[in-house]
Amino acid sequence: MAILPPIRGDGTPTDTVPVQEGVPKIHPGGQGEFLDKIEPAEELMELNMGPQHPATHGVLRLVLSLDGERVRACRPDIGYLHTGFEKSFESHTYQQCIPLTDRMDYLAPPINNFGFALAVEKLMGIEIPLRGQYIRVIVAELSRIASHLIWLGTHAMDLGATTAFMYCYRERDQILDIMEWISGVRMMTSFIRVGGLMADVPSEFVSMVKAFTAAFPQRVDEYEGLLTSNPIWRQRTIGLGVMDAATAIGYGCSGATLRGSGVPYDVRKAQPYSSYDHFQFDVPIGIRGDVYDRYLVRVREMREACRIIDQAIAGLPGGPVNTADRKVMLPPRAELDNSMESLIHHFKISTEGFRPLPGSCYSAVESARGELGFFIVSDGGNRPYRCKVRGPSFSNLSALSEMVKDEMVSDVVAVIGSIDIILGDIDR
Amino acid sequence: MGLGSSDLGDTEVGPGGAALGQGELALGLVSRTLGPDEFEVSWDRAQATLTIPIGRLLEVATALRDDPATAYEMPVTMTCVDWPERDPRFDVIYLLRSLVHNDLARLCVRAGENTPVPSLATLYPGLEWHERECYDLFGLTIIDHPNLTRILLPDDWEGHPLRKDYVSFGEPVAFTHNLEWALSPQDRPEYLPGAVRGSVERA
Repeated sequence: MAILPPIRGDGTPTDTVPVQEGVPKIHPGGQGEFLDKIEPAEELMELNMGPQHPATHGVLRLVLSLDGERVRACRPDIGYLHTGFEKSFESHTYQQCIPLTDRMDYLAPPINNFGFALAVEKLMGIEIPLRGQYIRVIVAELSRIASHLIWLGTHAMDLGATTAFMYCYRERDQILDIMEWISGVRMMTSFIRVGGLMADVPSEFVSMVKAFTAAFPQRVDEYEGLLTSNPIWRQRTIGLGVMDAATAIGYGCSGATLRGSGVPYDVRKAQPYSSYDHFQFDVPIGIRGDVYDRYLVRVREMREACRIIDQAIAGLPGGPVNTADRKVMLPPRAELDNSMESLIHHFKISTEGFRPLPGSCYSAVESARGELGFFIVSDGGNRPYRCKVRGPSFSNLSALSEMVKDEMVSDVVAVIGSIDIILGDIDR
Repeated sequence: MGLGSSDLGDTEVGPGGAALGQGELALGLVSRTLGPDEFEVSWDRAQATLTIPIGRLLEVATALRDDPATAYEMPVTMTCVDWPERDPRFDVIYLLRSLVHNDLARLCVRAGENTPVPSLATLYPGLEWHERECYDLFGLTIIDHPNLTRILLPDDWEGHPLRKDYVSFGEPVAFTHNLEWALSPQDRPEYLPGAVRGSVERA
């Protein structure tokens, strides 16, 4: 199912497992049914959930207004992880900002590098060679899988299924090994730089990635075998945390949170960047907009990411990975010995960086959580005058109060898990 | 100096950019709604920025969202850019996306510290948090907001950190090798953290 341009709401769903009618549900009905018959409380009870609650995935505090066990209102309180990245950007040169971006969405750092690098490249009007673009895609999709694996493991563990956690971490570790092999670091890689990559990939990279993608689809089958048809899992998630398409769009949701509600919007399809239009992949969408649909969408996305990686590895071209623009990327070491000009460029880049022309641009990538956008304003200096990060989790979390309204308090953790928030991305 | 002061034409497009000419639909609608001297349009990196008067913001945003020819239904983000030497000092930027037409509109209104900016939270519920962020980090005055409190910083925080005149960090401790650190932010060389832009360059 290729969708270009995305059409709101009426794409065909690619639900991997058809919903079996007649499956007993807790929501609504089941054990919650008798609670609905109780007269509404005259006074709501305020309950603090977090910021140290293990199922809030970081330091998120929720103020819940409870009517018995029912959540009548939910007010997320964020900012516990605020580190002032946007202020820090203003005092770092563009290339120095890359390690800062690593630390925002800390489960998929290369995608943050990717988004920032693309925004600065758009600001400067440079394009990197095809090999660099393909390697960026491979690294980004690998980290998308790694991030989804953490989401799946922790989401399942929040609901009491501990086995999936161990399975997911096994595969994630393979991805981190690949990251370590290409960049020297397992998580905060800073591998994607403005103008290209930290370095070309080592020769073992292709075989390592091939070995991973060859085995991975069967691994996803294993996770699905644990959860997708599991009656307990289905009872806990189907019909829970429902959000319709119009609400999701109005809140600016993106990623699987939006696609679970049936809106086939994916930045990789709508505004293809870095050669994403060279690859065949589908955009899975849900039909009910509940926790289970968001689960199906992400699991299916892992398979699609695997497909993209296979195609990118098969078509990986040769040649340089970095832009030939010497004002942006350092010249190769060998050139310094016999070119005065290279030496000057080396000195200028190392001491003061580069200076984009004045102006502004917005550029977005599809991160593991949704649309990760960078709005950069340049005043012609070597540091961003203003850099606004549009974190996908920020908008997704703002819709939480809609999703948990009138749900049971014990299901709030399931809904939080299903929108896959990263507090580093929200608080920045 | 401000947004749109660049002389880059609309032919400029970077690799990260999508289609040419994002925001053309919004431009068409705004030029039908507002008179020709009421708004400015500037093209930069293939994106149109529409600078509109603050009094017409609510009306224009409603039209952009509800007109099926534009259908900018998704609030992408809202932010501020601070130009302290300019009056009014803030550029308030709204990025709105149309999923149907695959287009991105960028609206800009100019606001001072005490200019009331109408809240768009009833039109776009997703902007509620973004408006709180602008209030928190820039001290933007937003009116008719359902819950205008600080969002990222503690309630008793003083100042608005993303303003250019808010010194971010850098302890003014003087050692023999870095006496410049003891200078006030205005006199501190620009390469030091916390220096005010446009301060003294190193001789």
